[in-house]
Amino acid sequence: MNLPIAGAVVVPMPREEKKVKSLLKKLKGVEIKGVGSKGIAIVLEAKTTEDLESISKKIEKWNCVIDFQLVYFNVEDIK
Amino acid sequence: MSMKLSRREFIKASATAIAMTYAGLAVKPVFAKESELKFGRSQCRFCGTGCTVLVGIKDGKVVAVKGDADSPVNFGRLCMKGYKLPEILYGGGGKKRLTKPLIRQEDGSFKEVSWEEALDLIADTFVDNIKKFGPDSVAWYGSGQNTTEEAYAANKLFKGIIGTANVEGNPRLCMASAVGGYLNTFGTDEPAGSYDDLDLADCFFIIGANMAEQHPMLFRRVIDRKSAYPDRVKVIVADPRYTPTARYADLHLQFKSGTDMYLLNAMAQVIIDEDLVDHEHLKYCTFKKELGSSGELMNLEEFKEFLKDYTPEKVESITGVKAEDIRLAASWFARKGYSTVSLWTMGLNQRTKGVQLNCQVHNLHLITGKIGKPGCDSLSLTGQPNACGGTREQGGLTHLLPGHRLLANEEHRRQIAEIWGYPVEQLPTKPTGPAVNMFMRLEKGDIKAIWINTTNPAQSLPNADRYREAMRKAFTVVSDIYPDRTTEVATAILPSAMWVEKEGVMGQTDRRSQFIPKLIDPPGEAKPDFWQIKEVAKRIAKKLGRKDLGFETEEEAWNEYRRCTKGTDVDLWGATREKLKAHAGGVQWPCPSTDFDNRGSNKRFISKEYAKKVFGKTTKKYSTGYVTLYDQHLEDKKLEGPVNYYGTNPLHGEPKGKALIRAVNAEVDFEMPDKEYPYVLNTGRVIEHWHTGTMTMRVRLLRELNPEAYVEISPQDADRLGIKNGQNVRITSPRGSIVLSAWITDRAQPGMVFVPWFDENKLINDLTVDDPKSWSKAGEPNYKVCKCKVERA
Ligand code: SF4
Repeated sequence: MNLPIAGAVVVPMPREEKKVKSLLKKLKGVEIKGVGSKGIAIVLEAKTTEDLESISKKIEKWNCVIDFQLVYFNVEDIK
Repeated sequence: MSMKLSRREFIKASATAIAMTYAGLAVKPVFAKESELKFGRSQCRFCGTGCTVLVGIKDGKVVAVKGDADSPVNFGRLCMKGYKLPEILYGGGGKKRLTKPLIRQEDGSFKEVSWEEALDLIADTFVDNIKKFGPDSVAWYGSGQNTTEEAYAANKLFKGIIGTANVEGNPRLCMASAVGGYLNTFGTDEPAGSYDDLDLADCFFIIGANMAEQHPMLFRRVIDRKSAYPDRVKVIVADPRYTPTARYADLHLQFKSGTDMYLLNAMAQVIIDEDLVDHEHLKYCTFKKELGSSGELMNLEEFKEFLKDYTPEKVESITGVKAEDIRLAASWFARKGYSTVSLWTMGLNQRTKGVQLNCQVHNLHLITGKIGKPGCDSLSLTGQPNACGGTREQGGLTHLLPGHRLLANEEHRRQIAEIWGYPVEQLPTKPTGPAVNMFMRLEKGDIKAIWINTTNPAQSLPNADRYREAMRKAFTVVSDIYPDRTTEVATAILPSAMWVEKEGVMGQTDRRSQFIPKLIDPPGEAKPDFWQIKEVAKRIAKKLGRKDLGFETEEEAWNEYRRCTKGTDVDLWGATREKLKAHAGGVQWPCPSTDFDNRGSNKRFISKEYAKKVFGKTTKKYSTGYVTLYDQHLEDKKLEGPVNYYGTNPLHGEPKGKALIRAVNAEVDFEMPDKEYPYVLNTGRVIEHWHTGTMTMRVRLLRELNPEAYVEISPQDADRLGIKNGQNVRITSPRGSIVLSAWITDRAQPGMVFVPWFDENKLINDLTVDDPKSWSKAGEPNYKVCKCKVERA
């Protein structure tokens, strides 16, 4: 069974939190779960691991993001 | 958990809870269906940070990895590479694990052979050469990724049984200058502080390091601290590239490549001129001209006089950094009543003046007293997971013996020979030469047989092409997990077990040792390197009529090694297997005590009383056990405090107990741009890949994120040369030429191009400089500054 779901923390560059949040909202499969002192907690969900990884790649490459950290990656899908 | 929750909902809830916890929101993490998996504690092997990981096993395979929340290294967090650890084990990108010993045939093909046959051939060839040409005709080239037990066994085989000092390793290419810097300043290698200082620092001075991409979990601690105190905490990044780390900084000192010695002397000049000096701390220091033990001693006034040629205004035109920015950086660094941590990696180490640059950073800490206090340290970051443990501490370089001992020191040789159980005359008395010199001797034919273990020098040596040919001609044994550029030129290939397929100890940046257990079996006939070394040692010892290694298991080797460190500054006597297994994040030396809860010293060079004064306490508790906030070696040896830099190494010289502030003249690197080659070529790593990509190129996500090498060119240079993004560009140095696609980016400084070295099909190290004059005083090559030209291809 494929359950490509991940939890991640996105850390914006200083003063870029608003921009990052609005970009995240536009991404399909991404839900913002809260904003804490250490970043924005998100959950990513996709049909395949490939899709999930491509969303991660996208976020990681944004200039307004200093750190993107997967903190949970569903295990069943690791080949 | 509600029974009505679907599997998908449950996993989502788990992912949410964990993400919220790590984002700093108060939720307790829950993990899904973990009862199905068996988790074992290990350590990530992808960088020198040493994040503690929990490895999930199902049906004899690694299927999951998560950070260990109990670890004081990463508090349960991991970076993208860490999460992809399971995939490095199982091949990908067109490559499978090596599973059988292979021997090259006359026609160049490789034939599968039995272990017996391979081991006999290796031992016979090594012994034949030793008998015909002497012990220096054979060599070992190891790695900062060997476990300490492997490195110790190899060191004992080559220096103890064979009697050659031809023992080197790839840490020479990354850490040697840092060792030289610590020895010249403190008389002893490795830092005074710990990762814990990052959580208390008010100023971060990051120079020659792209932490956001190369040490992401440590950079997270920088971010956490800055986010908690945005005004109080200042982040200064000194780097010719505009990296993500530089983008995050409050102040980016973008000096011209090769000119940072001027910048650092200018910061010292401002600190002294504006009397931002900590006069109390200067009681524990003295000033000395240049490196080594022979230079003249100076006083503060003379040091001030020495620095008068380095005012920010004078160095502005050399460095390209505005005088006011240098002044601001110096004032943030030296703020009285605030703490400062410096962090650096290859940008300082892989340089012609690498040792001096390291000393200059230490100078800033010593004159401002930003050391030995909470949130203060001069902390050199390592690049590999066991460069510190297996090489620096264990003595895996030509001039060293275990426990920070020197081969050339008769008493040190006698001590080690006694533990090893060999006559002292069996040990070599003089070092031979550093890594690149060893490959030069291989090229000359002086070295006839070499064993390369867990490293890929055919891709990583400077001017690598030259040495690939030398390896092809010699009898070259390569132990590794995947075929790479070095197995390509091998005579014999030995398939190795990796990471959790074998057990061993690894030691990282902040004097920390962690244990990696064997959790699964290696594939096919692959065997642990420790076993390979032990088997070859048995055969060689027998043929030479000498005693063999004398231990059978990794644990026995570790316990013998602990004896070598007992009573030394790198005291690991207290790092028992039992403690290493039990405590997430391991033990920090000096740790003379075997008391189970005692996890070693978080700070060095300060006494218990001094710790009480500056920390308000003397120990720090972790989820299991505690570390002392003072130096247990000082206590053990009854060295006088409150601050005592041991200062006993011959490189350091007198006076004992004082640190040396080194007055070093600023100079540029060996090979600077000229008319024919007007650009600086800078090389390094990228976030997705590690070193030569042997492992990370097996991971699909990482491969797709960054599939091949490219060249970073500044928009100004691209404009001038008429180069468009993605267009092919030819880079030529006096040693070679390569075509790469252009990435036009403000990461690159005008006049400098940057190329990553992970791509085995685009070997940028065929262009880097290997001239001995370009090496640092510690024999480390220069991968950061060499000249090149850039043209449209
Ligand atoms: S920071 Fe380094 S040690 Fe930690 S998870 Fe990433 S690669 Fe591994």
